[in-house]
Amino acid sequence: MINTFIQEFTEAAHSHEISNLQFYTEEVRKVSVNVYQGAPESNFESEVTGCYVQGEYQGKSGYIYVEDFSKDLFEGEIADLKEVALLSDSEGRVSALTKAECEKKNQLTDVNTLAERLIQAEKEALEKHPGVEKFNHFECGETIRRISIRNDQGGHMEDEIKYAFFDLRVEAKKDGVVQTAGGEVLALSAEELDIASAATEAAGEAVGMLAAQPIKTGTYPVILKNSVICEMLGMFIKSFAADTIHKDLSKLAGKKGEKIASSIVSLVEDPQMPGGANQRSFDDEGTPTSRKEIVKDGILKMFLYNQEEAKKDGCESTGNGFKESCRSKPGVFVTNLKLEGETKTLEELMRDMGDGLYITNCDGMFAGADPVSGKFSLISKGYRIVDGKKAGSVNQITVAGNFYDMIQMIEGLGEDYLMNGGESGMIIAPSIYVKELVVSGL
Amino acid sequence: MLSQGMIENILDEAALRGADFAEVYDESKTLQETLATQKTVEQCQMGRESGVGIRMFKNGNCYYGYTNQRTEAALSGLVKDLTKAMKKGQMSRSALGEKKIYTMGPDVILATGLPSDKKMEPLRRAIRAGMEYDDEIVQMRVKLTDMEQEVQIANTEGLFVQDTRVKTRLYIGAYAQSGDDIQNGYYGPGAMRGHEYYDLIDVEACAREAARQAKVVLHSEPCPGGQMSVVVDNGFGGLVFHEACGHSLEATVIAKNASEFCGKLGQKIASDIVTLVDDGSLANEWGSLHVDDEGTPTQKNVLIENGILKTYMVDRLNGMRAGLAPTGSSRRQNYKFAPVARMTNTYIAPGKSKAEEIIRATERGLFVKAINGGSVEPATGDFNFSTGECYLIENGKITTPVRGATLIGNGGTVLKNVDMVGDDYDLRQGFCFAASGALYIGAGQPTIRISNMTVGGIKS
Repeated sequence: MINTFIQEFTEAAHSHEISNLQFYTEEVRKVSVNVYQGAPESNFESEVTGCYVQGEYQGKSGYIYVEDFSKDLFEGEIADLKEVALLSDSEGRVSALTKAECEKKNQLTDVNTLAERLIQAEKEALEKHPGVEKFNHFECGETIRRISIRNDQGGHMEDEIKYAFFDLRVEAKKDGVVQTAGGEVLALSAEELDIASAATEAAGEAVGMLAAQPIKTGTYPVILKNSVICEMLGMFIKSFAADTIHKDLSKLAGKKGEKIASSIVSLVEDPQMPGGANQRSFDDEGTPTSRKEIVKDGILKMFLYNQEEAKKDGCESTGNGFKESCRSKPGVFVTNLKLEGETKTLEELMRDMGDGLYITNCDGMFAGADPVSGKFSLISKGYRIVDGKKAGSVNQITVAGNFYDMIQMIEGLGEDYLMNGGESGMIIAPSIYVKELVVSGL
Repeated sequence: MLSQGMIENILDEAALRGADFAEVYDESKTLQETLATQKTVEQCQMGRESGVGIRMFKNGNCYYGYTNQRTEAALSGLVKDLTKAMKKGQMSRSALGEKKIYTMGPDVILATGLPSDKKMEPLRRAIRAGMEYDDEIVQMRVKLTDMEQEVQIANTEGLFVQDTRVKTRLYIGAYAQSGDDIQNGYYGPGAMRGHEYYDLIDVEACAREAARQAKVVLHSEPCPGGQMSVVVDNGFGGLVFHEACGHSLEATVIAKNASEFCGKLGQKIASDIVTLVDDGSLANEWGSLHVDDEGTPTQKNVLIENGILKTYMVDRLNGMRAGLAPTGSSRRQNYKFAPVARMTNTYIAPGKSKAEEIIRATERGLFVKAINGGSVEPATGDFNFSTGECYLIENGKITTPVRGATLIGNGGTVLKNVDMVGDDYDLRQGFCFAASGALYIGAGQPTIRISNMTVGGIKS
């Protein structure tokens, strides 16, 4: 279907003065299952092919997104592509494509197998933590994305990635008090997901929160859990991207070579990172990807580029031209991004901190953290730490600070690496110990 | 669109393979989104999304599949895959009724029929007006969204409808800078209309409002944290209740006993002066639809009336699980999502107090003029939302502008702590992100006071 479309659309577009055509195609196959109280409650299955078509018209680059490949829509689509070309300011670009064949032929796991794993994990967690009321949400699934880029000069590159996820929300209840815990975890395949231990950990966390109380407003040393750090990094990584800098919306602009973070941390992007769920050999523009140290021992080493932004600075793309979705033009995103440094166990971090807070959950980050100024103020819960040990749980507080100040104040990294993220990049990070953040409560 | 014959064959196949209920959702959508600044057109997405979602129920379980292959072989293959573990059944489906077709009014001006210059005019006007507002405005980021969606929905109970929804929105973001401090403000007017909408609103005034907010926030003090009274301005302030109780009244969480409001129909859950409505049938509103994404006509649902919980928002599946009738609330971003009960235009009905009176009666508190967004955990009712433009209230007067406040609380508690409701109702436009994707929603209210809330500050 898609091959015929590409061939026929190329001919039609060429006859309408559109040249240098490039077709970015994504074939996405997904399965997932939801389990509720020991039985599957919903199954999902899908297969969608989308195509992002780019072409040059009157020296300008235009692009459209297509899901319906019927020939009778060509006329409108060609008119749309021309309209976008004349509207947008980007000059026509031709990415030179090399040949890249992809031998990967991933398979999706059967939904029944996924369901059985969830049911088993739920059972184990409930046995271990009888205080748990139920799992309000328990879902597991796999996605395969086959990406191909073709142009009208015979270039053709193909790649395929597969990843699996599970997502859960556990509810504990006692004397009318309800608490929940959980979150999302990603891996290369369902087999590699450790669902049972994560379910048991979340169950323990929900029960542990039942006696939670707010604490006094003030400044506290804080350990932020891995899931919080993954979400934050996913949001603030855009500051390291050249498009954000060129939009005058990055606090890191002009800081290359400067110390922007605590000297104990480094930030690495590695497209072939073992276990990384976004293993790409080329980006969505066809540029080969490579391992990069973005921050080394706290020093900002480089910014990330796609082709368009590289042209503005007279440099080469760093292979980070990824799309946020198939329908959008390539922005600047990452493959697998990891926060690195010398790690310690969570117990050691707590001992180092002495008195403070261990924050296990922050919500509302999409609105409560500002990627431009770096400020964040987030509803949070977790534990008070006294003399290096957990001493009661805490909720209905906010934790606030500035991301750029916070990364300068990292005192230690945990060894509890978690992978989170999505189609615009995977983030791999541990819990971190921060010298101080502002807490609002009582 | 799929032919009636093909839809019937798919429904027959589902019935034959054991489904208790089957539904075909056929969607074609043209979406154009242009994001521009004063310097450049950063992105212009023009695309057609087109595909089919097939949903089946069996013994209370849901099976959902979707594809953009519109052939009968592909769709029937999807039904076969989804039903492979189902026990063959005997369900006799009802014949499809005559197709009910809902359309937009005759005066709708479609973006797809406009020349490019004319289409982009509101966007360019907003950028210009925002940049001219003040020297400290360094950047305007404006996004023009035009959507034309056509859906066809049919099910084994004989429902057969077609709905056309045309939406337009101008999201205006303004950035103000002083030294290396950059702050922003926004305003995002939108409607269930075509481009005739831009003759009804003052685009320049909207842009100046976004710019004004950015400038105020830039010169604001860090907000102190702690417990205090909170007065939320009219309009998009209604998002507080969208988070505080709206999501917790959706059937998805009600059916699983995972909401603090389960089992409380007919009970008092809010103060007497609180009436909360969700209405997807409001003419021309951004959050409206003629029929929901299961084909049920939208309606005005009074969720809370004078403090008493009257109804939940219910979709077909969770209604079946919880023994509740659908309320025209079932929604999905597109065919790639199974529909569930979601909000449409949600608002607190006007009360009797004057806004000035509410401020005057507040000795110490926070006046929230602009809201960015928030979230909630329905099981506990704990919610949060982040604010934009805010002021301290001292001795009954609005004083220092403050920034960085996050309001947190518990839905059930906050509903009971509403102690003043103004008469200055207004409805605004936004997006809601949840299980069935990103949806256009309205949020509204008059000026409201919550006697006590935790304000998360950035200054200890």
